[in-house]
Amino acid sequence: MQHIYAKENNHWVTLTLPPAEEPIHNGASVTWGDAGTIFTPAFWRARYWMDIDLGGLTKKTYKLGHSLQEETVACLLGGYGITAESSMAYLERFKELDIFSKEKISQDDIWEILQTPLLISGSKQRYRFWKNKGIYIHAVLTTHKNRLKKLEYFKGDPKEFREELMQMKGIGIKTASWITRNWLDTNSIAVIDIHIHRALQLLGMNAPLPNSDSKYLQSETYFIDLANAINTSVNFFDILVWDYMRKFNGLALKRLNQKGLALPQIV
Amino acid sequence: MGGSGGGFFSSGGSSEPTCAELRFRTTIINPNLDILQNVNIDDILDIELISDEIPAVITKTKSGDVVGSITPSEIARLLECLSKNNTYTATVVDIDSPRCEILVKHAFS
Repeated sequence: MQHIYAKENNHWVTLTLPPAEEPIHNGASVTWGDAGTIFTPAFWRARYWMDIDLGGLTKKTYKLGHSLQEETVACLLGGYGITAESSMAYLERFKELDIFSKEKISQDDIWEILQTPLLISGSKQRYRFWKNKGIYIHAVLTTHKNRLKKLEYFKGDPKEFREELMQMKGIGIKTASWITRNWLDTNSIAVIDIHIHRALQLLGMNAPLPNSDSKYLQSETYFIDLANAINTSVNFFDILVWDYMRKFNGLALKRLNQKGLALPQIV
Repeated sequence: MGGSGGGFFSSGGSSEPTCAELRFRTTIINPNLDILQNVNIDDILDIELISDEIPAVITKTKSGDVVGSITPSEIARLLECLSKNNTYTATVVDIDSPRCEILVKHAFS
């Protein structure tokens, strides 16, 4: 067995994990690996225990908006390599300007906001992809306003909720998954972006690059199976892996190269 | 926010410590009990990246024996700094075998 020790309120606590060579579940080709080796299932389980379980992060929300409309805009602002810092700064700008409560808002108003540089991480930066993203955001604030208001109280299958969102122009399966996970707090959906996909590859899982809906769903199944096998909650595990993988970016790419895995494109 | 957790964890960027400022407490994972029995509070351990092939950071005694590995929340930053030839040491701050807590800091700070 593997033993991970940590301190909680000045008292020692222990997490015991299966031996490194044991498969993560019956019939799995992936083994737990050593908890001290980065990118192994045991490493991820240990970090989940320290950051999420002991860190009390399950009490913290990952919701970005106060309404489904705000949440949708927040998630639309992200993705495509746009940094968290940039999308969060523009979301704050929308809130400062009270955009979400305005009765009428024009396409030009949205474009103007996105084209105005903001101070981000110490330098003035303009939002990338302002034109296309501006069109999708404007639709969320106008055409889809009532549809989103109705969906706000949705109580059914999260996958149906995701399907509904995907009917809106500019919202693909990843963005729809992200909004759904955040809004419904569901564990039946995962947000598979490039960082999560790389984590799966580094574990030796043959998860396909999620560049189509069917491949996305296959990769999502791999990720949910992994999260369940190592006894983590899919939603928090997704965020944890995403955060570490973006920080490990250079090392992860180097490891993928060493393993002879083709570098996937950003989706 | 390129992915799923924007706004949840603190972001990196300008708030990240420099390699010289990087300093944290952590615990040793899967310690080697034979080696740990000769380790005491205030002992200084070396911090080392095993290799690119096996991405793991280990703690070693001054005589070169491996005590165990570490995976602190600062692991990504630590790896980045180690790869830029920064050197770190760890002071043993608490020990209750097999549990061992260390304070890691830059060797020249």
